[in-house]
Amino acid sequence: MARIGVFICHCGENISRTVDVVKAAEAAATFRGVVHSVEYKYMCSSPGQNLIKEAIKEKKLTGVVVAACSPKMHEPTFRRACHEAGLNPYFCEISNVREQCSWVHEDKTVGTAKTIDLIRLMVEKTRKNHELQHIKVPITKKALVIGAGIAGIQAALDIADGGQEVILVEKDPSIGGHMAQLSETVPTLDCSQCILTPKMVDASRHENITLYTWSEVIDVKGYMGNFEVTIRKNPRYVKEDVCTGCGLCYQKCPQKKIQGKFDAGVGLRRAIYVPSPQAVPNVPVIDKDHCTKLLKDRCGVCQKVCPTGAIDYEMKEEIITEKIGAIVVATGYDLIPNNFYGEYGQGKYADVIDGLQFERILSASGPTAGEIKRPSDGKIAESVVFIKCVGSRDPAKGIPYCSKICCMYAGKQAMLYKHKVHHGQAYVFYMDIRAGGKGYEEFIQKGIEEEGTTYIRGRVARIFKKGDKLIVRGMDTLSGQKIELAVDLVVLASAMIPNKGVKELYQKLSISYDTYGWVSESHPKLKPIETSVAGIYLAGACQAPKDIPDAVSQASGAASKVLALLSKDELEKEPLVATIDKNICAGCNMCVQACPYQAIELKPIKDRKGNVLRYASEVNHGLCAGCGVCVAVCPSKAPDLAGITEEQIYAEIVSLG
Amino acid sequence: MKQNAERKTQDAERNAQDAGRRTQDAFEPKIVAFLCNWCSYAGADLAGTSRKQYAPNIRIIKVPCTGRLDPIVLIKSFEMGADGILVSGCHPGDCHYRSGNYLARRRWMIFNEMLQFIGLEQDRVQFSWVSAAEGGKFVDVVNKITEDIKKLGPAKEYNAS
Amino acid sequence: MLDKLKQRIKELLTNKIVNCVIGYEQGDNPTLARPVYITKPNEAERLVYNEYCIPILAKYILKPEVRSLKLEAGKIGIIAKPSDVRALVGLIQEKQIIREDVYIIAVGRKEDFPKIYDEIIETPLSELDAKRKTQDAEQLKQIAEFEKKTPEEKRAFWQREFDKCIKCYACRQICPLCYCRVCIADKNQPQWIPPMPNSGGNFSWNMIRAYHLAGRCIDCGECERACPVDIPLMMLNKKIQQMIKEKFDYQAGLDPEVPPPLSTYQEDDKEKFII
Repeated sequence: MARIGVFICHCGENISRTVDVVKAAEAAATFRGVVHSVEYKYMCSSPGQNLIKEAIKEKKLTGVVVAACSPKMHEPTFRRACHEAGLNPYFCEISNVREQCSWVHEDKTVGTAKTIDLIRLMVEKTRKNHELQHIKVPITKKALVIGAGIAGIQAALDIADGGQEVILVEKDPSIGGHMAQLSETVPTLDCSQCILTPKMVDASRHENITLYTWSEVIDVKGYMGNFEVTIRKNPRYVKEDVCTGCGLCYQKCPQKKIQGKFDAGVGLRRAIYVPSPQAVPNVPVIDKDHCTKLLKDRCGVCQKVCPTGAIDYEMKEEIITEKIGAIVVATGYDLIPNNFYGEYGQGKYADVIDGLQFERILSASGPTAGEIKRPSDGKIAESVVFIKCVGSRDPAKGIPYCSKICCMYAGKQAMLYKHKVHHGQAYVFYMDIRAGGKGYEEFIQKGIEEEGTTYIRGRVARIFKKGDKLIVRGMDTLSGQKIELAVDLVVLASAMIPNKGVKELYQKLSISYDTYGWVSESHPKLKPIETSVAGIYLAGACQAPKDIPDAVSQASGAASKVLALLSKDELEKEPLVATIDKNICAGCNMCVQACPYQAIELKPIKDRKGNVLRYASEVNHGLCAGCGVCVAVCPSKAPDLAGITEEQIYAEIVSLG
Repeated sequence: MKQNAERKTQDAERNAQDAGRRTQDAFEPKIVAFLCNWCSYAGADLAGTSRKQYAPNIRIIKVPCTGRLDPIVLIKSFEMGADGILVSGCHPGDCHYRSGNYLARRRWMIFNEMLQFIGLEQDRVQFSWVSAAEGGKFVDVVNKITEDIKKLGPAKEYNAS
Repeated sequence: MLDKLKQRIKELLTNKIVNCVIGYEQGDNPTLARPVYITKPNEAERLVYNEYCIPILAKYILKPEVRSLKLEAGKIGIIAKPSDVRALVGLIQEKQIIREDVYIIAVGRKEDFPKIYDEIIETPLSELDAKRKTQDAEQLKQIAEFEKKTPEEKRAFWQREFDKCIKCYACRQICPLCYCRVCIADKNQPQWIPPMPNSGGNFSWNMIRAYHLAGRCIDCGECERACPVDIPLMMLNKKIQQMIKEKFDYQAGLDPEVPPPLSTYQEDDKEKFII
């Protein structure tokens, strides 16, 4: 028999002003199963809570209904009080008579009658409550960081410094990401390599970090605290443990004219190469699409010159599986392809390049050693046009969003250009200048006032070649005049888009992404680091266009989330999860298909000899979030949801009859 | 025993109320509202904290997600004497459980039309998306359904009692 | 045609491609055909195939005696009309049978079948099928007419029909896709569907039966034929089929690979009634 106590709160006067609490308490005392019914000025106060605790002990209550404010306010408070008095907290329910009644109905008769109904409803629910215990799930104390750009490196370093093991996976031969390609950074103009390289080295040397470069995550199973990840290590054809990084191989390689990814197509590399002199690990990789030894079994020069015998043409890919507790996704960004706007001639004219290519030209370690030589003929560019919002903010081309970093880097590139070509002319075509950020607006102003960058508000309509000049034709929308400039070089601030192949990865991770392919955060304001899957966090530009400081701070945020998770031995979960009765389940698979968390699996039911008799669904409580979709789709109601069971919903409905 | 007797008098009172409820002029409908915990229930809370007044006929039953609700729950509510039903959840794309409301939407697309096919008045069961920020919309939805049901009168046909 | 069928069944059994075939034999009088299990080649002589072969055979594939046969090696053969094949697709889709465990011998016109059968014995459109097609068209017209009525008239109609229900559950027993181990109508904790054949209980049962088959009903019409009090169950079923086709562009029993429409969704499902 249920022994339920009803506790009605006046909430000062918030409830009692429009509800006759005494009458409600008297009515509640007559409900089936109610053995104790009182009202009190402030239930949530410590004397109020003591009232509940004492009643639980004295009246041997098996259930508590508190008629007060919304459960979102004090459900935890009252449940804790019950727990302290020795009653399982899940026997405590809140009847929301403040937000749902006293605050929204002025008439005291109406308010009192409704309050009585609401209490009856909750008493009926409470009569059907069950004792519930927190679900405990063990946690594997190891993190995986996918992507080793600045965000991934920062997240890995912070987690590793926090004392947890990290696996850092990078699909390129070196870590560092796009930041390693940059020249100098906004707004302080410190050299990108100089601030990044120490972090790259730290990441490679940290005792808690295992680095897999030239590797990809190919499969992810499991759930928060218990992921199982499969990583494919692509063959480098160079043994990492034997190579000393002397560089003889790539000095001697006869295949010289390959456009590499690191120099963004403006510089050339060999078939065996390290992406940059600062690459980490400093181990070359053979480009199997260009190496004649691998393609046609001719050459083999690198093997001959290698003093340590590190070259291995027979190397095969390696598959590694790892048990992981938490994952950070830091898969970064890419730029739109160069044929995005045909009218700008990118791809057709060598001297129309994108921002990353110009970064390589600006970079002291780049293909031109920092001289502003234009790609077509190596001539110093006497005039440069920078065009912003190339692709970005163009809904007609499918990219309505702002790429956020272009305003700053275009301004910076114009400034750096002027530092190198003092007499040169720099023009920036812009739609708006968005310089929100510490020191950013000042930086842009400095470019205009001190460095003499000419800003033209308007769009460029067309670019074409005339002699050895590029003619840039556009509109100055402030003066309303057509503009035509003859320049040596055009730099496009191309829109940022998600990296290639990330959607497939996100599907393996089961995390959601938006229509463009940026990772969706769990809540746009309050959970910007969490993905839609518990235990998977995000960092950097995989979420949306982001600059370096934002990416780094988010990476540290993700690391702190990971550390908080991995600091526990067991994960405690609210027990409000679904369980499926195998005897009832017919194994129709509908809940498996409908479950938003892939938490349900069909499992065989076998006889004593091991023959499979049939299949029935089983919920993985580690993955279950407690939505109850499985209960609704099941025609025979084999699943039930703890906390809001079928019987409870039924009882609540019946109580209203 | 004493409790029993009290309950009986109370039942009698309620029956009397019920009888009153069923006469057209003083008809105060019973409306059951199934609200999802994360959006619509919070929207109702916001209506409360904003002290917005609305029709008192509604009785809220909290569910984690509209995806938790089987149509049988609605049928049962009618059987138990509800005159109207409101089901409200998160807007498409905002579901706390990723896709619970999308699944629910399909369900209601079919069930709602089934109800109309068997002749239930269109406004007896209403569905809405109310976010945690839409206290005002919640009030409007509740007032609308209350008005609609008052016009329709009691739902006698499927009431088992 | 029948000789060819018998011959083929004999071969299948002799060559141990199947260890049982579900087909029809003559019933107690010439206008009745009843399901039969054929397990030996010489028993194939008992088979009949005529316009009285109405009962759906796919239902029998789930019977315990057939399931136990499946535990041993060999497939279960089934002589299948279009509705049988669609039911089998549904059962495969819902993991009640494994495609490899059944051997489907389709009988009829090629265009009437989803392409999952193992072999087909082609026949011209039978009189029965032709009659069924005109009946279908009539019923659709009837539905369209019915929908023009006022809610009061519709309600009166269905109330009168549902009031006839005696809760015998024959509609459920005969349905090839009603295979739950425990039917919701038989559960009593909680008792969602009142067991009494009164207005409340009848309404709940008939609505929920139809709803549970939404997107799954393969239009065989067995429930309506089984109903001893002639409730026009197919009117409701067909209406739901129409809705599913119109809203989700889906027809049950055609493709075993796609999930049933109510256990999945599209982000851009279109509706107009949610405020």
